Amino acid sequence: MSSITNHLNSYKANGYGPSIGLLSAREALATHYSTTDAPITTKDIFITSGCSDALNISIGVLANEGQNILIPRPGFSLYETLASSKGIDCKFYNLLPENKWQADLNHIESLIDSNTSAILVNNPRFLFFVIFRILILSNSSY
Amino acid sequence: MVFSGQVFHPMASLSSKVPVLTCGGLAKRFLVPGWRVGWIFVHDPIGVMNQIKTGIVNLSQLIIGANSLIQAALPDILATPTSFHQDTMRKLEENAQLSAKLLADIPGLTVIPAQGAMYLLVRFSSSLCPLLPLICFFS
Repeated sequence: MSSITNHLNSYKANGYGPSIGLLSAREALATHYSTTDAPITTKDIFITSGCSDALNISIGVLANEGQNILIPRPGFSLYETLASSKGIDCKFYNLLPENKWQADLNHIESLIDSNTSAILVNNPRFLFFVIFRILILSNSSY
Repeated sequence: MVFSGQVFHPMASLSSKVPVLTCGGLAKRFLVPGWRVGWIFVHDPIGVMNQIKTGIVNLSQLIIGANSLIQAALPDILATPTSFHQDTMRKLEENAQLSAKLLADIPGLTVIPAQGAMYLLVRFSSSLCPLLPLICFFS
């Protein structure tokens, strides 16, 4: 809180910044979240207006109207709302309550078609190991 | 965010070929959903995401980005002691366990334990309430 107060009183944090986020903020995220297995730099980081905006941009950039994305069921209702608002179809893959909500990998495989552009995975509630030749969209906000 | 005994594995760390976009934000982990700062990390192990990155930049220009004040403070926010997060998870887990315990005594409800969530999913057995159609329950 004191950091926010200091920046507020400085009058230097009130203007428009780069639309993808301040460099100092992206540097801090890179330092905090980069790992040996998944290194990231500021060139890989884009700051958004909340995670909802991150999901909105991600779904919008990954799929065109008429394509589809795979989303978990049960799952956050916003995924379908965002996709549908862009004319992107949703295909729902089952999560298995009897198996700690792990994704039904066979069901996922059966849903993928030539119009599928991405699979949305909610992590850490669910484990997902099968790799396909498409993009994976991971929501780690929960 | 995971409960005790669980280990978090970033999705990107599991993929050596498939590109992964990871969406996150301050909202849940720091308990500040109204501050409106989130992010997209692009994991691009085989270098095929340049057009996607350009597309993300273009789309970000629609609303010209996130809260400037919170972005400026982000380095300090991310440096919050881990004890804050541990305390948060402990309280969430205690609440989840208490809720599960109380709901387990209600006929027709089956609680499905969570491994790290701010909500609990409960199975409702409509067979125990034949006079109440399921759609009536939710409307």
